[in-house]
Amino acid sequence: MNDAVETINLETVRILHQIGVSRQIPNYFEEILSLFSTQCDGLLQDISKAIDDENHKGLKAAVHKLKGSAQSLGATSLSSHCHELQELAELKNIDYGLAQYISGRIQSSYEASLCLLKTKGVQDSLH
Amino acid sequence: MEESTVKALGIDGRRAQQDIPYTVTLDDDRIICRLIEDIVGLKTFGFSTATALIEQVSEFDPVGVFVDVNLAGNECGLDIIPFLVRTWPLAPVIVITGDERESLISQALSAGAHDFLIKPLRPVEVVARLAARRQDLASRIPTKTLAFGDITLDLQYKTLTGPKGQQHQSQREMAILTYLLRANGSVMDKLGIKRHVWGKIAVSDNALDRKLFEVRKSIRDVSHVVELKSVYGKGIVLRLRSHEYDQFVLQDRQLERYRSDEENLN
Repeated sequence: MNDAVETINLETVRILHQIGVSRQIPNYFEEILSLFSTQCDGLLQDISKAIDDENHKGLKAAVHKLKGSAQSLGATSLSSHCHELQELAELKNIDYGLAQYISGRIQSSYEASLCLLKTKGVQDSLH
Repeated sequence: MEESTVKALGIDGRRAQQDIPYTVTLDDDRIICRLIEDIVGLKTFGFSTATALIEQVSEFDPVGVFVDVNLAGNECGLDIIPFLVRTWPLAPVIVITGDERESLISQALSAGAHDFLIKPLRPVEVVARLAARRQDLASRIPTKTLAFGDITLDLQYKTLTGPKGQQHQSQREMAILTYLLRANGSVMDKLGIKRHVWGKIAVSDNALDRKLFEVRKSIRDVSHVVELKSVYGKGIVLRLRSHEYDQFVLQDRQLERYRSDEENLN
């Protein structure tokens, strides 16, 4: 569970569960997770394409949106890697090699976050 | 709600859309739109660009607006705030951001936003800020009556009137009704109601429940469509009995909106 604590914010996950409970929506967290996963898959592709095309504006927009989604789900490490790439994208002359490297870390962080959010360990810790 | 019941109450889809309280969320993140809807307990119409919202603004009259700073198509949500404040003077505009920079928050407030929220959203904070800003705006308008559905509360003569009759209200009942009518369909927590009605005087839940019983009875005696509903773990809400049906109608409208939004973006 230590990995989970570093990668995701359990308090945010707990709040999302509570919204589902108070609205009496079964599998609410799973629904939000599915929305998150669909949205992130598209954004990761957008980031990758923006780096390949050296599209400064596209990169900034996609990484900002991914960061926002990560914050909403409590995916702390994903949000923090997005922040790194966002800061890089703010520079006048972007090092796209470095952007590519950070984008790789974002991808790994996303996979780890999604995996942890889906695990029974995280679910159990909420009860 | 059964279709036959809807017909009996004389509520058609169009009227329901006009009367049901709802919010508008300008954010290209569908997770935020979904969370806002589930936290506030009111349908929210999501727009991913300011351009799309401006095009359809005349079709909506929300009770609150949530605006993200960075929108799809490189638009900035702050630019549309003055327009939204002018168009919907009774709907508080609340900026949502994941960025805690003070300059951004002050820019939002300077643009006319009534409040701001920082991600991740905390339900209690979202509900409290929306309710507080709605009350601020409502209190600026001098009025002698408050209306919701088919009931009208006369603040001067302290009467509640509806198609089934008229009831005189005590001072405490007036305070509860005023508070809930101004909330216009938002769930209000019991602590807030107690504070509004009794101020600093400590009162038990039983005392509040007795007053709510009286208010519920008054509403039932005068109205065909309004009810006082307890929402488990959240509080009390004044809503139309057609609530489930209304949510269904609005959901259909939202799906249409998403489709047209996606077509415009493509």
